[in-house]
Amino acid sequence: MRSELEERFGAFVREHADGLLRVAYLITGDHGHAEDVVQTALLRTHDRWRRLGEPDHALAYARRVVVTTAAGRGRKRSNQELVDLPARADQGADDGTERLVEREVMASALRSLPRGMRAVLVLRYFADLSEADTAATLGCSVGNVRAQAARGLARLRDHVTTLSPTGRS
Amino acid sequence: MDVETLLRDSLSHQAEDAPRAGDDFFDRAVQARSARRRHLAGSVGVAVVVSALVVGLTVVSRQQGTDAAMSASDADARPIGGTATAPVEVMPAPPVAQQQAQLARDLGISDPPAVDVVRLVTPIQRERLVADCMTARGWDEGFAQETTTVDVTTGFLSTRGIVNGPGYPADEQERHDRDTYTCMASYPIDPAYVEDSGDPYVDSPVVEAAGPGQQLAGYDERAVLLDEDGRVRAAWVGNDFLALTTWGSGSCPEVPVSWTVEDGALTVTTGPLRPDAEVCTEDYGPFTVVLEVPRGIDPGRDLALTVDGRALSLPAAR
Repeated sequence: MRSELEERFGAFVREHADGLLRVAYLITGDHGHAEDVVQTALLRTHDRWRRLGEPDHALAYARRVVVTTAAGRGRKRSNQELVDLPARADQGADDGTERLVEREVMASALRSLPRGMRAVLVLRYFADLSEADTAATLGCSVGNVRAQAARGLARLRDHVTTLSPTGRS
Repeated sequence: MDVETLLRDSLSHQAEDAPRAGDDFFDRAVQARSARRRHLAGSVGVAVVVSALVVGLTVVSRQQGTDAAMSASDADARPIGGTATAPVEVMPAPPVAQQQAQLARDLGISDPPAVDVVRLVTPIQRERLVADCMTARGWDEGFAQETTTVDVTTGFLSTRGIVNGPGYPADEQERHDRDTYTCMASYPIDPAYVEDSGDPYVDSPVVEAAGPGQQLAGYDERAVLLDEDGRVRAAWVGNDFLALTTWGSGSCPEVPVSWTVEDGALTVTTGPLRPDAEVCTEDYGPFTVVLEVPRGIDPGRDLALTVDGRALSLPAAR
């Protein structure tokens, strides 16, 4: 029979694992790596479950491990080449060709960014974290987040402008 | 469409392709960890893993005490860093050339400059050295000097060492990236560094730990401080490290769990190494951790040290 703590942790996994996987996938661009990262984060969260106390703290901790591990400088998978994020051509037909191309260009531009910078953009523009929460998740200053986001957006803008067939952003 | 909107749209679209966690997602993780541990026990070295488990920290092998259980390979090991989180798994850092190649890829540098390795370092040492190196090259990277608090029990850090400066013009990006490469490649992580699952943000200044009953060599005896009750001992270890010894149950020692540096003074709070332990032995022994001297503390001056509210003064190192 599972303890109450285990039940609560199980509920935590059911509620948040998919969200953590999405963040990990957007940073790593690889299914296997994303799963490894999230499983690592969940194991570490499980190990600290009692100490973390509140589910919000646990989620913050798990997200932090996901992001920092995924954005780390390839220490676990330094010899692994990341696969390209798919452009999802099969599901983009309704949006028209131009939209599809824009998404492909943006996906390509994201891949060109350093992973730490990509992590900032994923947390800010996908997870919708505030600058302060992004900084807390990454363990850096708000100023750092702001600078990384600004530089990342500038680089994306350059890519999109350069690569888009319409030449506009 | 502006770039922010396009980015949001692209991210949410890409996220639809993310893998889904099935019902057995966590169970598979547990099984994988068990398999990894069995593998590591054979390939990384049983002694290191056992040391980590005994001490409860990811332990470095600099201790030169009388622990009869230490193996010859432990005793011969170089000083290396460790983290203060519970040992989930241990693994060595990649070889230097591999680190440098990955660094060049991360920074998007196709023709990285030749860099001479200055020395091998731990992650926490690297942060400082890289910040200093970048500053020397004219970049305002900044380095938080005012307050650093690390909770070694949970791995949470309230602030980190490196804080980026005010930024720089976009046309300086390439030069910044190349200088970043040069500075980081000059100080690779020691491949002997043993860490847990690779999270670079849960490193703590703990570079060494000795379990109950173990001794640490290298104290500057003149500068050893013992409080009135003999419960806290602090000592400089050279000019770069600071040893703190607390006393308590051998199986449930009290250890520094957070520390703050402010205005050159060090404040330490201790807590149980194993808060979840249900049974503790009634013996009484020392537990020592060695911290890298935090930025903001000058070993050449007397150190105002507060441990669990007790104000002490540690004489300057030689």
